[in-house]
Amino acid sequence: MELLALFFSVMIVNNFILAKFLGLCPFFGVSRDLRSAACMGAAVTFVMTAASAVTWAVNDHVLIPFGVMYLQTIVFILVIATLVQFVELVIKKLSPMLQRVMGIYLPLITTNCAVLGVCLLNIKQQMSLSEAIVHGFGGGLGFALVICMMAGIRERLEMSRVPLAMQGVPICFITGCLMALTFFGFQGLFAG
Amino acid sequence: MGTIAVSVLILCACGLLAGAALALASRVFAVKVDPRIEKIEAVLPGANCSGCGSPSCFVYASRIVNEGATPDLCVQLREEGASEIGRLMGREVHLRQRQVAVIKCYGGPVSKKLFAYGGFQSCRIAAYYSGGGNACEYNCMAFGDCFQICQFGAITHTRGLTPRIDPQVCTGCGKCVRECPRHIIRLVPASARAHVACSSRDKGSVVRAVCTVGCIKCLQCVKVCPHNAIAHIDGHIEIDYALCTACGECIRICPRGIIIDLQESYTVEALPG
Repeated sequence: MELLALFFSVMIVNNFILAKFLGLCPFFGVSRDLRSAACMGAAVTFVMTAASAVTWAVNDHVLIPFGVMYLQTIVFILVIATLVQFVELVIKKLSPMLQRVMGIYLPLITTNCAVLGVCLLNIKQQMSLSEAIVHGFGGGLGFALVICMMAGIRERLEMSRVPLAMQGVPICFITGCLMALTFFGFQGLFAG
Repeated sequence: MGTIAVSVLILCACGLLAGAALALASRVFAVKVDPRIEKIEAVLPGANCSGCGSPSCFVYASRIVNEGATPDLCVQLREEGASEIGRLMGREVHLRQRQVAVIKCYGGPVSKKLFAYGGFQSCRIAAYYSGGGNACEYNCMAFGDCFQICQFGAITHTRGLTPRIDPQVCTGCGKCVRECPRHIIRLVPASARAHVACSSRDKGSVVRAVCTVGCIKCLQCVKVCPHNAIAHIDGHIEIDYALCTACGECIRICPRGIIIDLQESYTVEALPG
């Protein structure tokens, strides 16, 4: 029950993009059409979940025993980058189809701040392994949800008459702001 | 001192471990790549201009090998390269006709000015500010965005003058066509002769008021063309190169002198700014 609450809290209430403002580069960069947004969302969900588990283990078995908690950020970056590269190699070998869907997005998120953010938050909030994985998975799904919504809106925007000065990225920023405001309506539903 | 040593050691150990793991993984999960892809990629120009629709030359090469894509999509491929790919793939290859980009404006900055534009020197930005003060809504603003985007050095641009595209160097990749905020750059067959260097859709009187080298829609070229290749469509003159026989009648008759002979006079020196 607690895990379920955590899951929904990180997915909707404390959404990574709209409440914590992490991972904004893919949010605006890869939200031009629904297909690539969905692929990006899938890739981020996958990497976030895996990275949560791996960095939790690294923290618990390497950083804490050696008493070098202050190396968290740099070691996590290293671990995440390695993990993503590794996953890419495996996917390339085992599933060319999956490679076509996620392939080009994986290198893009090696240094994604949302992925690093979820790992650091796991440690900061002293989560257990299962909590960390749920946190990562929920955060990734929330990311996918929001980026897909954004892509849907942007596809409609392409068709509509936007004032000249607002065309392109400016209107997206405003759309993003309005979405963030909407999501703030959920604030306080779940603690955490 | 000890703290620094420990952190450096641990970080190095982590890095080494990660590197070793990746090296091992790349051995274990190595994927065999069709050697033809590499050979075809070597034949392709390697400019990654994406004119063929693939993001890079490598992707295009693998599409040729795996999905049976035709090599004629590459805008820069010449005869030798095409036959080399044909030999590698064991099938006949035909090249499409080469295309070159032309700017459909004769002397962009000649247009009357509504106000002095002092903003950022970029066509894209000037287009947002009432076209950088140009009275003509269809002219070349001559800030050289197309010059910036061209990867092949086919465009020469002197500040304040309409850029010139060298048809010998132009590969027809179409990047400048997409970049131009006024949408006045077109791709035409490299063999094309007559080219209307104005894209204004305004009435003749309006054009006459703002520009000395604009098309005034007198339609003399439409009438004189013996092959009905010239038409007045959506307010401006279009030449259908499938019908054009390059007889040059329209070039001679244009009273404003803005139908240019691409084969002869299209050199940087021959055109007025």
